[in-house]
Amino acid sequence: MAGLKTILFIEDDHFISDMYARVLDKAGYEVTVVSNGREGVDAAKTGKYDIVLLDIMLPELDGTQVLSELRGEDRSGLPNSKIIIMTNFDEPDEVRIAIEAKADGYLIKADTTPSALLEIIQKFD
Amino acid sequence: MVYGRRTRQIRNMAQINPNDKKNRVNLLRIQLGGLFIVLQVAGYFLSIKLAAQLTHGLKHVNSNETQLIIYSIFILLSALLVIILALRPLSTVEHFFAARRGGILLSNNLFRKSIADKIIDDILERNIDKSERVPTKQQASSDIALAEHAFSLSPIGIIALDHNNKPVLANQLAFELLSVPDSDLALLSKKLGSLKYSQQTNLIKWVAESRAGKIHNRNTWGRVEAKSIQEGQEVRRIFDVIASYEKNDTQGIDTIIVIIDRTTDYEQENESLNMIAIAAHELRGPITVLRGLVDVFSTELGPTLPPDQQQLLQRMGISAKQLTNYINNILSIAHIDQDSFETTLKPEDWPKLLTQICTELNTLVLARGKKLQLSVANDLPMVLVDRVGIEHVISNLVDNSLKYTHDDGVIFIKSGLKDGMIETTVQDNGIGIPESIIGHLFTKFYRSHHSKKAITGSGIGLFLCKTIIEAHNGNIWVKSKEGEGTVIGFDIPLNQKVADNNQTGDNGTVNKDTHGWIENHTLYRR
Repeated sequence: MAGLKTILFIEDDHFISDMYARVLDKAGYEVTVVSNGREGVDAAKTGKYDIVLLDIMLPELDGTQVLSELRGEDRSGLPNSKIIIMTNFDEPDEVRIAIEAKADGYLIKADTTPSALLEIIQKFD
Repeated sequence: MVYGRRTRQIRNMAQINPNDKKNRVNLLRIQLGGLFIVLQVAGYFLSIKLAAQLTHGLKHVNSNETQLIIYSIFILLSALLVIILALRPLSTVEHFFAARRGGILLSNNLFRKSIADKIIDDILERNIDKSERVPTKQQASSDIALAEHAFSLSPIGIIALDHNNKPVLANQLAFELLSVPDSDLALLSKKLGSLKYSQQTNLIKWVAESRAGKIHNRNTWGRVEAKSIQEGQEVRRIFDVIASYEKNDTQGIDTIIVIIDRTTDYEQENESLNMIAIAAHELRGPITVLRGLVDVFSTELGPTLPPDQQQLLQRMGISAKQLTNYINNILSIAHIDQDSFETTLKPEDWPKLLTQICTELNTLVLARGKKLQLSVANDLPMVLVDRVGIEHVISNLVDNSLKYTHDDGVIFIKSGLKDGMIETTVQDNGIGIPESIIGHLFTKFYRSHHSKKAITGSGIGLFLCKTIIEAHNGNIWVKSKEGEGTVIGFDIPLNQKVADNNQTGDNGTVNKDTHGWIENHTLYRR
């Protein structure tokens, strides 16, 4: 894969994060997992991740709050990181918030197998 | 009124109460009516004959006296006849004939009315307890009083509009429901127009359309929301609004609007739907892991396993996918019920999309021991579809076909241009659908208990298909014969035909396409 190498996974369910991380890892990506929103913001703000996979149901700060902090008021924060919401939450309001806050995608975990996620990320390149 | 009926009524009453003098007389009149006719006719003949004989005989009689006597008799007879004719029994004769004819006696209305009144009085006297007797004409003004009272006590809000859309009448509850101070009709009108009518037409538009070209019109809006501030708190009410229009040339009231407070009902419904949504979300968690790990094992372990075990793994994956499909169906229906289901239509390359969908479904079909055959032309014009929605439709239709196809069966999917739309059919040669079920096939939650081969899930999956296709402004239909097979078909519009009834494009402030947006969620609905 060209360009995109580092992935930050903000997800509190280890079953899920381990599963996706394993596949992405085997494909050559460098995956870091954090399990709460606050840590997620801190890690992402360092700017060293190309892709941020962001759950919504998180302790400390939820995903929409994290997104809002990372992109900032003017929506121009972290321009070099792609932020993809990865959740099982399917409400129109959440999706609209994600769009307006300049996320780069909204995936439903139950509909995204690890292979599928890999494909999507590889196409994103 | 038909006289036949009157005569019957008289007869009936006589039967009911034979001792009543009036009835007996009336009955006698009817019975004698025939006799009187005979007498009259006989009398005429008699007098003619007599006159002839007399004239003949008179030639031989020179006596003036005899002549006088004869003429007197003649006159007397005539007079008698006249009297008989003039007597009331004639009415009975008319009765009689009219009754026989069964038709309406076109003569004297007063006459008929008096008979009718008598009969009614009779009935009243006999059948109604004196204390409950229906009063006579003074009722008119107390009727109005009664109507006003009912109007004010009515458990539904009622508003009457005149030609200028001005509310000329509104009951107390109408003001309350719309949170408008008493008798502020202008504000009431404004509030009424500004409610959230969720269908394509709102109240103002509908009234204007009715006035423009209709004689009668009626419409119901369900789940109309109204928010208001009462004592500093936001109050949310949900109504059913029913409007009824009747063309009125007198420039008076032509539209009646009824507002029914359904807040509690809809809130309870919302609670159930919320519960469904929450349950579905919860289920998604474990499903993610199951599905994901099967996928991981398929990738890592699969190639090392013997074919039979590979197949087992594959079946796990298929089942996990079906689980997510069914959950997605339920969630979609919850959204439909809450009126938050809409589709985002975009231009798509139909052959490419359809091929993609079918390729994915092929795995499932093969695993079930059946085959999928797709036939679609390559050069079709662009269609306007909701990608995810159409995927659900095809997936549900194939799922349905699988249930009814024999082993080794084939499911044929054909798609082509027809009448300016793209028509797609999913056909199987399976066991077919019983006629008793076909009519209900697309009905929500319909479940036939009649046979073991009963359709399971059609009340969800197929209902969803219908909703999605209709949201595309298309049609869905089914043809089936037991023992021969089933065809379910639907059509969708071409891109160049922009359907007015659908919302297209984004609602957000960001254009998803140029942003490189990726998604697979099932429910981006506005």
